[in-house]
Amino acid sequence: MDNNLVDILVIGAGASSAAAVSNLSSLGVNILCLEQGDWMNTNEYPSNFKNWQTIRDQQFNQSPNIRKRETDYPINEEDSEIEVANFNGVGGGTILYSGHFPRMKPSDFSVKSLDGVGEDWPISYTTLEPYFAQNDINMGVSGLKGDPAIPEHELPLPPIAMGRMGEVIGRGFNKLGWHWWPSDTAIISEDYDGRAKCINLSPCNSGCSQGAKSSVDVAYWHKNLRKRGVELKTRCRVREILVDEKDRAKGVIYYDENGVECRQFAEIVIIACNGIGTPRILLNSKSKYFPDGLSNRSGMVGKNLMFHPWGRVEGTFEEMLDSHLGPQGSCVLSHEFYETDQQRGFLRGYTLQVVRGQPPVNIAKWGYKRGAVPWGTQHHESFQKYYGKQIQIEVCCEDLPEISNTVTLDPNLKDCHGIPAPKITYQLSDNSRKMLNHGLEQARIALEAAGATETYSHGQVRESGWHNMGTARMGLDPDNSVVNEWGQSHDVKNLFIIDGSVFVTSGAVNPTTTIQALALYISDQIKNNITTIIS
Amino acid sequence: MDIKKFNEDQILDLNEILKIIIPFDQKKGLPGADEIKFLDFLEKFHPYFIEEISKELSTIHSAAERKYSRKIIELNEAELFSFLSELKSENDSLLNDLTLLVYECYYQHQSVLEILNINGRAPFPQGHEVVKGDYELLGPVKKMKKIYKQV
Repeated sequence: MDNNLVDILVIGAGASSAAAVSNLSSLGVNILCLEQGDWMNTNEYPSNFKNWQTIRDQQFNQSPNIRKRETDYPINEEDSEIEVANFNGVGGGTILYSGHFPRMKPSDFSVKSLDGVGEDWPISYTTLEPYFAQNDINMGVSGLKGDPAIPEHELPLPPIAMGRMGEVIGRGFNKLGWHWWPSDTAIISEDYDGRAKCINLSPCNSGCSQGAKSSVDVAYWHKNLRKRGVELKTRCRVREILVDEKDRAKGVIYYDENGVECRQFAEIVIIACNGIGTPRILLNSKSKYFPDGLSNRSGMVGKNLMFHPWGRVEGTFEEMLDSHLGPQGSCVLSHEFYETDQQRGFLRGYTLQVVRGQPPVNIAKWGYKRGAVPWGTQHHESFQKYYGKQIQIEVCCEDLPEISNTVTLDPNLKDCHGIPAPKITYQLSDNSRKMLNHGLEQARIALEAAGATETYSHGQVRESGWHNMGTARMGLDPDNSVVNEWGQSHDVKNLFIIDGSVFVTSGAVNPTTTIQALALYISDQIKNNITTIIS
Repeated sequence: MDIKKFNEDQILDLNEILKIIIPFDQKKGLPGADEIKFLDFLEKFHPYFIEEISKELSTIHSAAERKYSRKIIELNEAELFSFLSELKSENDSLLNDLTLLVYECYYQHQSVLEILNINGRAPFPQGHEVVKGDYELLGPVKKMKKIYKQV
């Protein structure tokens, strides 16, 4: 084999890539993954240091525009109500995610049929169900069987500790007669698969020093690389995908760790760069065959950008709950308002995600910004009123695809290699605003039912662009979608997309488990049809 | 950028302002913000704010001289609190960045955290104890019918 030709080239080493490579490695073919970032060193995560709250907000900031690592690329967000959060490195966004891991529900795949909005997916929950289960095992997911808000499923590990705050908010939900349940969480509650269990460091969303959070570097990549034929190269940033006159992807041009322009050829190219990075690469891959960007004959690349419109209600209680301890983003959730009820004045619904209270610096800084922790002689009393005594409910709203919400290429902004950077144009729809307001109100009601003496609501939270979806969507109609029901480009038969870009609608849950189930499903299609794809 | 950017007057003024932002709390035994080596923290973690803070200190210093014909260090605590509040009422963003940085420094300072009975150590490797929680509370939810829409 030509040294510069591999069977399968995967761009990006995040959640979807890790799962797909794990599955594809059983083929015994040569698989190369190019990742623009570095391997993470758990010794460098903020929770190793006393000043972890400062380090978290700098080198591990969720915004690439603030973090500004060499391995990041800038994003123009001036015309967006939501700022993008991501991480570039082996593990991708899972390095900083909270591990909150609820699955999308059956209705999420049939939004058009059920509610007359958005589009239906060409696949269903049933299609993905075995892949969800496999991924839960591969990742190490904790949770409790029996939730009436989702089809029955087993989790490999018991739920993580919900703490006193979980009991308090649970009683509040019970008082209202509302649904609630311990969240499925990609954090191991017991030793699992050679990894040590969670010890409640708390700041999961700045990297897990313990390795208990199932970021895919620890959950997948270490195992992937023990398999024959799998190679991962870091600090390799892909500029564009090359295509031939037969509309077949030939390979990529990328910059290696020394900034040298290189070419890598492949029989199959898989893109796994998230809902922002994937359209960026496609739009940067212009050629005489694809003058508007690769796989963009439909004009749908970069369109229908979806986030999850996001709200937050902080409830303050009189008793000490030690609520600042425990996995920050995961505790319990309520799906009382998940499915459509037209009497609410909007279509589709949302998750109420109960998260832990904030650490000391955030209590003080956030409190100052809203006038609750002021200067002067009242300062200490104000701080102690909130510290360890807060429960937050986050409102994660389903976003619907809007053609006007886009990822395009910025005409001026470029990364350190001179590659045009993405520009985000995004506005909340009226439906989203109504949903968000409803969610903020219900979260307040839940907190008060639980005994909160004070609540503070805000939303749309601008810094909430963790979930980037829809910008290369899946569909049966090549005029209205970018990939087919197997994640295969309508225009380029040996090109596959496996990340959140292919989402048709967003659901109202953190998308990582669904992204990975999709990646396992799509990679199964590649395995089953590899001879046809390559020929 | 380093703290040499601050002149002698500015350092003295800043010290007085820090006492106003978080004063010494005799009852709780908590230090004031002037006792937490804030300048070291600023220089180490946020040097790019030094220029902005320096400009704000100059503005405040001049305003004090105009209003009181005195230096900031010559104002008593009540006067300075009132003066800074007045300046902030005219310009809401004044000293906001400084305040947030002071809070960030203060609530990571070992002596402050010890007195507040907050672990001042790094979270790793010791971690924290969190009670599991009572899952019997889920009884009413378990009795619910399936609430997801069947498709």
